[in-house]
Amino acid sequence: MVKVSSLSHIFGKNTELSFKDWEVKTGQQWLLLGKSGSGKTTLIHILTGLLNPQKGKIYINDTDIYSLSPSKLDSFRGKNIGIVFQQAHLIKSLNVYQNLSIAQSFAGLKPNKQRITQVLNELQIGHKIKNYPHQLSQGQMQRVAIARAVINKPALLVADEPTASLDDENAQIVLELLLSLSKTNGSTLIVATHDARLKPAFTHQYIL
Amino acid sequence: MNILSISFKSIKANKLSAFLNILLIAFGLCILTVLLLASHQIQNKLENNAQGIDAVVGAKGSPLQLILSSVYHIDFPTGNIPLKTAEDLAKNRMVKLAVPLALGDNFNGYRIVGTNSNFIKLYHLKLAKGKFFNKNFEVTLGADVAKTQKLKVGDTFFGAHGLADNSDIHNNHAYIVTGILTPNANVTDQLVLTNLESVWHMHQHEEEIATQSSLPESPLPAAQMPTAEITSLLIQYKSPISTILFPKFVNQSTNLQAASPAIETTRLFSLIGVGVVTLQYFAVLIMAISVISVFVSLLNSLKQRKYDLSIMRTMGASKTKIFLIVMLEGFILSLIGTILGWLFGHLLLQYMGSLQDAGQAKLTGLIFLQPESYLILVGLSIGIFAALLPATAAYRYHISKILAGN
Repeated sequence: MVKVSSLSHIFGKNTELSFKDWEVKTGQQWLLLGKSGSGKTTLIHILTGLLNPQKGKIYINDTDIYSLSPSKLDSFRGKNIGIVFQQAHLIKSLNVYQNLSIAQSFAGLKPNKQRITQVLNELQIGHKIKNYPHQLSQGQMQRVAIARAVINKPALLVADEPTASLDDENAQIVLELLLSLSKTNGSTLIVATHDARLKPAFTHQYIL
Repeated sequence: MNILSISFKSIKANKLSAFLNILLIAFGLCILTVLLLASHQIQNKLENNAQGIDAVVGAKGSPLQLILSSVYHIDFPTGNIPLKTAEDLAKNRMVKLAVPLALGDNFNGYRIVGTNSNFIKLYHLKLAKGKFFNKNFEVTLGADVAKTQKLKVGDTFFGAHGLADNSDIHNNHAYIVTGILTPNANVTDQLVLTNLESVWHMHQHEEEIATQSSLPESPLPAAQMPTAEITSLLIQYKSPISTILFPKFVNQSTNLQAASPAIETTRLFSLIGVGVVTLQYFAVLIMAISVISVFVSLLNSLKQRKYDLSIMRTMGASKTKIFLIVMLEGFILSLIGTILGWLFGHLLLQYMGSLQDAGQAKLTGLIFLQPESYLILVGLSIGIFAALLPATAAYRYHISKILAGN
């Protein structure tokens, strides 16, 4: 499903980050573990087509994503990859429903209210559908961010430190949601974190 | 959701800044629209009303005043001139057509003009109803006079002494409407036309009342009125060369003056033009400020929204879509500002027109001029121009750096 081959990325003039080869099979749930500054975010951005690496190849569903033209890569990302960041980064001028429906639009799909309601209900925030980001708590915002990432049933669901800004209770809820939603949607899951306490929840780990 | 609604919602989220930007664009465009419409209408009226008139002969005084009173019917005449002298001038070999005018009365603010059939020839007047004035106290009404005063053929009314005042009514002799003109889009729409004798008789009668003498049954023919006077004489030359010769002849051989409508209106317009140009500069300055204002507010909002736009990229939005979202924001602001400014410009001019006393120079906002489309294009391009740099910056965002917080 995901294949990382001979990958390295150079920062500035001298700093080079090299990543060992990695193969993720469809439906697997991986923990990408590493200390701060080890290159987790860099690897996540490269995997999701946000950062073009200097060397190496990334294959997602047998597609060499960096061989695609920029616009095709954007389209590929919208249709196949869902991303959750440390911060929810919801669009402030849009309400919860609109934040999810633009994810459908940008992926070239028609807005599907039924699907949006279903996902929000699964995340137990269905009643917040008309609320704007400033009317939500931190935990609710992160759930909306997860909903946005899974709304198009992506083949690959990637989360970069999704629990770092949450308290323990919310962190646990968010992690469980990511694990269960990736299963129900048939998505491959990669969660990047520095928190070794998450290790038991994953059968596969990639250590940086 | 399409990119248009994303842009629109982003503007809605910054209501105050959007309102101020729209206000600036609308204000600038409103002034430019008023100036364009007003100067076009004034110039048009000046040209239309003076068409076919090469010179005006009248009593000595301000030539501009003579033109304004005899051609545009908006100022007081410089005085009267002897009919005999006017008749002599009319027979001059340089003159193709001479139209005598006798002013002095009005009907509810509309000037009653004593004249002859040459006036009909000069302005190519046509009748909508009835016939032209022929006998004494018969009048032919301009289209606007008939419409606003609700007069029809056969109706009668009394004129009042003076050119605007309605207090001194000549209630001994009523005028009878014999005809109504077709609209001509010039000053004749606002006039009440009668023969010279009617005006003379009206005033002769007044003089006789003043001396307690009896009134004759019918007015004397002009030839039998030794002191008969008219206000002015409109002249059409046989040849353009007379433009120089005729005024010189009049000024040297008579006690009168000959003024050229073309020269006087150019002089008048150059005087008005100073104010118009100043206002135009002012409006252009406001438009320039609005470009800067839209630019600054888009750039500021971009700083706050760099995560929003980067997140859109992670959802599959292409760089071009991000560029268009920002461009559309600028365009929407200028579209609303332009429409409002254009509408307010027309409404303001219509309102200004309704406050004007002189119907002859009335301005209207209920017209659309072709150059207005350029004005609208300029208004619309403000937002596009101002959004170009912020949109390019958004297009070039390094989303990985932004999302990593660097």
